[in-house]
Amino acid sequence: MTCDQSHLLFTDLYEDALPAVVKLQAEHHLVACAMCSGSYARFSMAMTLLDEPVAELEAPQSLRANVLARIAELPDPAASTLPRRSFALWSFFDHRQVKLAISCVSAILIVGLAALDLSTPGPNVSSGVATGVPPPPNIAYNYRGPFQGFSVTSKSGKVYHNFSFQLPPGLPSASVSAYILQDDRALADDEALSDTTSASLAWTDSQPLVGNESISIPIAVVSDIPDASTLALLIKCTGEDGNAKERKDVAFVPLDNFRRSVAIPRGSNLLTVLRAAAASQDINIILDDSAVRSLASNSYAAPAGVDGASPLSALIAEQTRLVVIPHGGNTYAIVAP
Amino acid sequence: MSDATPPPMDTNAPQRTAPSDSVLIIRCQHGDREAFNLLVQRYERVVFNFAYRLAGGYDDANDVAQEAFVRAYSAIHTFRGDAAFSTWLFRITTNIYLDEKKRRKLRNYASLDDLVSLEDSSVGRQIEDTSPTPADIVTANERSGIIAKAIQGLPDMQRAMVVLYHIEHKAYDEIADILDLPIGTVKSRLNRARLALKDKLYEYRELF
Repeated sequence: MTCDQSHLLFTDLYEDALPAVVKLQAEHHLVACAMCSGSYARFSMAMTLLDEPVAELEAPQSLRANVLARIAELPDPAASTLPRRSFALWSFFDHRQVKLAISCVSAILIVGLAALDLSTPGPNVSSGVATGVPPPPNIAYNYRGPFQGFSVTSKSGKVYHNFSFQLPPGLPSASVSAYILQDDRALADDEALSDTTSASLAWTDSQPLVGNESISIPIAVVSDIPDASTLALLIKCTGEDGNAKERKDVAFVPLDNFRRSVAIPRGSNLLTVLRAAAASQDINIILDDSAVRSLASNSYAAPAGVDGASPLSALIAEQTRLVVIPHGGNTYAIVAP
Repeated sequence: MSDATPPPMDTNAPQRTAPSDSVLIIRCQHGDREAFNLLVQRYERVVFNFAYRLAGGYDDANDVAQEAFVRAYSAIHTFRGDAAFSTWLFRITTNIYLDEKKRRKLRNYASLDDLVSLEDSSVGRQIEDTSPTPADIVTANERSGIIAKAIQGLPDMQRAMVVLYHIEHKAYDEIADILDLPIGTVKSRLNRARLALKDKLYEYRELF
């Protein structure tokens, strides 16, 4: 090893990042060469000095004021083109919010009791899930599949979300987890979601998949979450051989203005949601068009133990502005009067 | 879906925390200047200190930091969240600093043989020697002062790397992201910067 080669390795040698053989050669050279040995000693001293803590300065008081004064003269960045996102979730909420309101009084909604496993009152999305919300900066969003979802909104503004993702064929199983991301916690990657100081698991589930089957993701109970939090949906699909080869998709749902929600146990169906909401005399059900289409194209069976329409229709007829009518077999329509 | 019961949610008293960067950014992207004010408030100290380590002077650092925030605001609609917002800010700050240095070099180009006119005479141009004088050393009788001066003596890009690594404690990959260089280049250039620093700092070995 020459002296020049030795010098090129100083950083890696200092950081103990050299392969064993190269490290041995470098150390041998330092032992044999007094000049390089002295040079490395100076290098080590410099590294020690450089790593000493440095006192931080306060920013000038005028800095922020000057910045704000200057940007006041600039055009509104909102007037510029917002980043286009291929994630259907964001655009879904863009225009659906309007549809949600419009459909409030007129839609005939076909709702299957069994499939609507709404265990989660969600956030008020009126200001939160609006447009183009980026994922946390250090995790790249990578879900590219079709997305469907609908919301059930109470009069007080509580929104119950149901998301469904179309997963690719050939995946025998999938697990989905919903995490509440803590504000100002950096997440290095999706593994950091399991770090409870960064994210708290709100809901998780797994189910077998057959072919090109969509899975329904009821969002978890959200209660007393500080505002400006984010919900991350982590979808893991296990490979066909059942090993750890996973496809991981992460969808991020910014959840502004969390306040309160009704805690409804996992395993509850729409009836339970309605009961809980109706108990507070505060229910209004709104489904958007895509949800209606989705639900109408499927046949849902009433869960075992639910006897016809009587309990639900009575409950709703008495305490809400909606009624439930039979819609063939064990399916029901919730109709706005 | 399975019948697994979800973990109970903590329904204790709500903890109000500041909005996350991503939420503030999206608010900015929708024209909320107050959100940008919060971002400036959050990062002004970090950006100013970084600019100060690069520029080596309070006023220059103030200018660079101010320009960095203004440029960030103008380009906020392009921020996609591929990197942390702080990384993005560091990148902007570094670019502004390097651009400004280039501009100054071009602007300040002058011949040493030029005469400088005074009121009633002319004298040869004198170039300021920015290397530390013995008086400077006495004044900056602190390790940090010596180290800062040594760093200031590095070429611009090497200085940026040293500041990012040793003062801002950025990892190699993040520095590569900020400076838009391959990691291998970052490591080799940083090694070169450290080799230069070892000699500069060795000159003051008796002070340590």
